[in-house]
Amino acid sequence: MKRVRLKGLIPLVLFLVAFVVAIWLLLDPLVKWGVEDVGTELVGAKVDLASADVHLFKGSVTLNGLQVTDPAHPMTNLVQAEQIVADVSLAPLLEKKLVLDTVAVRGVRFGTPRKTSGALANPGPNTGAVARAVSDWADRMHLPSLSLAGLGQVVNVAAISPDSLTTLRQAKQIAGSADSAKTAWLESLTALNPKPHIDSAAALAERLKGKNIGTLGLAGARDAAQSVKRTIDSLTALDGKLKALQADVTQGVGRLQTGVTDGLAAARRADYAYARSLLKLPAIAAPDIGPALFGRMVTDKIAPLLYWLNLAQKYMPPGLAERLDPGPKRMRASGTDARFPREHDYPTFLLRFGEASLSLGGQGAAAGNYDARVTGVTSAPTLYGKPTTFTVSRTAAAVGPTSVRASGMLDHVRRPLRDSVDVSADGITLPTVQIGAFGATLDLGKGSSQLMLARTGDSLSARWVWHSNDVTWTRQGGSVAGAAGGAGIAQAAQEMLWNTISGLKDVQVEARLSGPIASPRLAIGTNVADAVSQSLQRQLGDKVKQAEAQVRARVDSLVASQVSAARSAVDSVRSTAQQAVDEQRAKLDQAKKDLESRLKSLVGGLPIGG
Amino acid sequence: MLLLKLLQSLIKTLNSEGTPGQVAAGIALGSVFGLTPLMSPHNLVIVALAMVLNVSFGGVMLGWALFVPVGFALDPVFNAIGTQLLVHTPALTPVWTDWYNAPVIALSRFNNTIVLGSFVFWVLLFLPLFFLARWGVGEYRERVYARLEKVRLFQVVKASKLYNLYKLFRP
Repeated sequence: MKRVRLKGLIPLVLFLVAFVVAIWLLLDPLVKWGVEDVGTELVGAKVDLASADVHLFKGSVTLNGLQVTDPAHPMTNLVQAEQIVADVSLAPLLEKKLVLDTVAVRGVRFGTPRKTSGALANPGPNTGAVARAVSDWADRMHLPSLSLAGLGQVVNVAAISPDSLTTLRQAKQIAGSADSAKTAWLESLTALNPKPHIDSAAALAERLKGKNIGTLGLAGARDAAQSVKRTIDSLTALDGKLKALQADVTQGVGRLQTGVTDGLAAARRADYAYARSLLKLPAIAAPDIGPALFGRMVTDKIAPLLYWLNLAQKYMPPGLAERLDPGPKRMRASGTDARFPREHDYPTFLLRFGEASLSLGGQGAAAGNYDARVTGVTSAPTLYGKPTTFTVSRTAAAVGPTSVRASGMLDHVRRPLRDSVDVSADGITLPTVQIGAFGATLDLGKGSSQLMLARTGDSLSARWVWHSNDVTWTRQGGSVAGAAGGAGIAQAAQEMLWNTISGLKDVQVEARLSGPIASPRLAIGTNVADAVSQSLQRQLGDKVKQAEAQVRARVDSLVASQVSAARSAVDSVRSTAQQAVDEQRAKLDQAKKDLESRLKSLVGGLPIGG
Repeated sequence: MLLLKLLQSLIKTLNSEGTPGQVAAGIALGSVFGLTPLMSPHNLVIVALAMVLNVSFGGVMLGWALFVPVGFALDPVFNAIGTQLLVHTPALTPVWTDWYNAPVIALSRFNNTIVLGSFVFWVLLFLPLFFLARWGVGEYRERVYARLEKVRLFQVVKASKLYNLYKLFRP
C-alpha cells in the first residue's frame, strides 16, 4: 500500500490557494480588528478605526479615521487622526516582529466629541490598568483643605477623645517596655551572680595582707601568687560579662529616654494637629494654604503625564530578561506568551521615526499647526540601544503671539529608567480654579506654563509654573460652606479674604513634586497663598492662636499622667538596673585592684608564680 | 444535529474501506485539531499531511471531533506543561530564544504556554493513540459491525448523502 496519496495534492493546492486568498481578503479587516483590540486594551476605552489598507509587498499600511476615546470622558476622543501611513519592514514580519521605519500621521486633533460612548461594557481585568493606577494615585494624594467654617464655632475641647491620642498609646508602651526591660536585666545580673566571686576575691586579698616571700617562703609565695592570678583571671572573665550587660543596659536606657523625650514630643505634636483638625480651624501658614488652594489642579494636570510615563514603563521595559504576557483572547484558555529577546535581533515592536502634523482649531490662543516628531519607540529599548525622544513645536499660530515647545526623552535602555519632559508654552489659556473657602472662582486667563519633569527609577521630581497677569476673580455668592448659623466670624473672614485676593491681578503658581512616585511630596508656592496667609495672620492670628492654645492645654492635661508614668518607669530602670550593674562592676574592679597589689607584694619583682 | 453528524462520521469512518491502520492514523493526526488551539500555524502542516499521506480523511475528522472537548478540558494541564517548558526549564531557554528570533518558526506561536503544552501532549499521545485506535477499529469491524448492520437507524445514517461525499476522501 502506498503511504503517499498523490491525488491528495490537488485538494491540498486548492486548500492552500483558498487559504492565501482568504488571508489576502481578510488582511485589512484583521489589521483593523488588531488595532482596535490592542488599542482598547492599552487605553481602557474604545479605540475605533474606520478602515485599514495593507499593501504587504510594498510594506505599506494606511490606517484611516482613528479615534481613541478618553477613558475619563467616554463621549470625547482623547485623540483623533485622519490618516496614519506606516512603512513596514518586511523581513522582521517573518519573526512576528513589527518594525516601522517611518510613520506619518496627518490631521491629528484632540478632545473631539464622539457620536457614541467609548466606554467599555465589560472591561477585562487588565484593561486600562495603567489609567486606574494613575487615577488611584491622584485620589491618594493628601491635600489639606482650607475651610473658614471652624471660625464661627465654639472651641469644644471635650470632643478630643483620649483614645485617639498617640501620646497616650506611646507613653503606655514605653512604660511597659521599661518595666519588662528592668526585670530582664536584673534577672541577667542575678544569673551572673558576681557577689560570691567578689567576696571570695576580697577574702583572699585580706588573707594575703602583709604577706611576702619572707613570711611565706618561696614555695608558699609561689602557691599564693598562682592562686591570686587564677582569681584575677576569673574576675576578668566575669567583668567581661558584666561589661556586656552594662552596655546593653546603657543602650536600652538610652533608647527608652529617647522615646520619652523625642518620641513623646513627636507624638504630642501629632496629637496637637489631630486636636486642631477637630476644630476645623483654617491653616494660616502659606505653605499649607498653597496646596489647599491649588493642590487638586496640580494633581489633575500631573496625572495624565504620569499616565503616559507609566504606560511607557509597562510596555517599554528595560533589560533582556524574558517577559510573560497574557496570551491572545480565544474561546479556549489564553495561556501565557513568553518572549525571549536577544541582543542584535529585532524587538517585537519598533518605530524608528514618526512624524505627525497636529492642528488645534478654534480661535483660542493655542490654535494653530504643530509638528511632532518621535524616534525609537520600541517594546525592547535595550535591544534598540537608544532612548525614545520626542519633540513638539508650533509651525503656525492662528491667534496670538504664542510659542509652544515640548520635548522629552524616555531612556529605558537600562535601569534605572530615566524619563524627562520639558514643556514651555506662552499665551495659552490657563485653567480656572474653584476656591470654595472664599466662595470664589479664579480664572487664570492667558499666560505661560512651564513644566520640567524628571523621573529616575521610582523617584519623581517635577516643577510646574503657571503665570498670568490677566486673572479674573469671580464671586459665587452664598455663605461659608459648613458654617452654621451665627458664623459671623467666618463670614467676616471670608469677606476679608475676598477683599484681599480680588485685588490680585498677577498670579503665579509654582508646584513642586518630589520623592517616590507612589507618594510624592507636594509643595505649592503662590502669591495668592502668601496674601491669604498674611491677611489671616493679621486678622485672625490671635483668635486662631487662642483656640490652638486651648486644644494644646486639653491634650496636655489628657496625656500628662501617662507621660509622667512613662518617665518614672524609665527613671526607675536607670536607678535600679543600671545602678545595680554599675555597683557590681565597681566592687569587682576594686577586688581586682587589691589582688593585683597583693601579687606585687608577694613576688616582689621575682619571676615566680608562673 | 451536530450529534447526528458526529454519529454519521463515526459510523462511516469505522466501516470505510480503509484499513484499521489508516483510520487510526487519521484519528491520531486529527486529534491535534481538537487538542491544540485550532488557529495555530502548525495545524496547516497537519492539514497538508492529512491530505498527502494515505490516511483516512474521515478518521482525521473523527479524531478532531472526538478531541475538541478533551482539548477544552485539558487546557489547565497544557498550560502547566507549557509553563514548565517555557519558563521553568532554564536548559531549554537557549532553544526558545533561537526559535523566537528565527524567521517563520517565530510565527508558530510556540511561545504560548497552551500551544506548546498541547502540542507536546499531542506528540506524546500520537503513537499510543494510533495503536489503541487501530486495535479498536479492528475489534469493532470484527465483532460489532455485523450486529449493527441489522439496526434500522444504522442503515438510515449510512444511506445519507454525506456518505457519498465522504467516499471521495475514503482511503
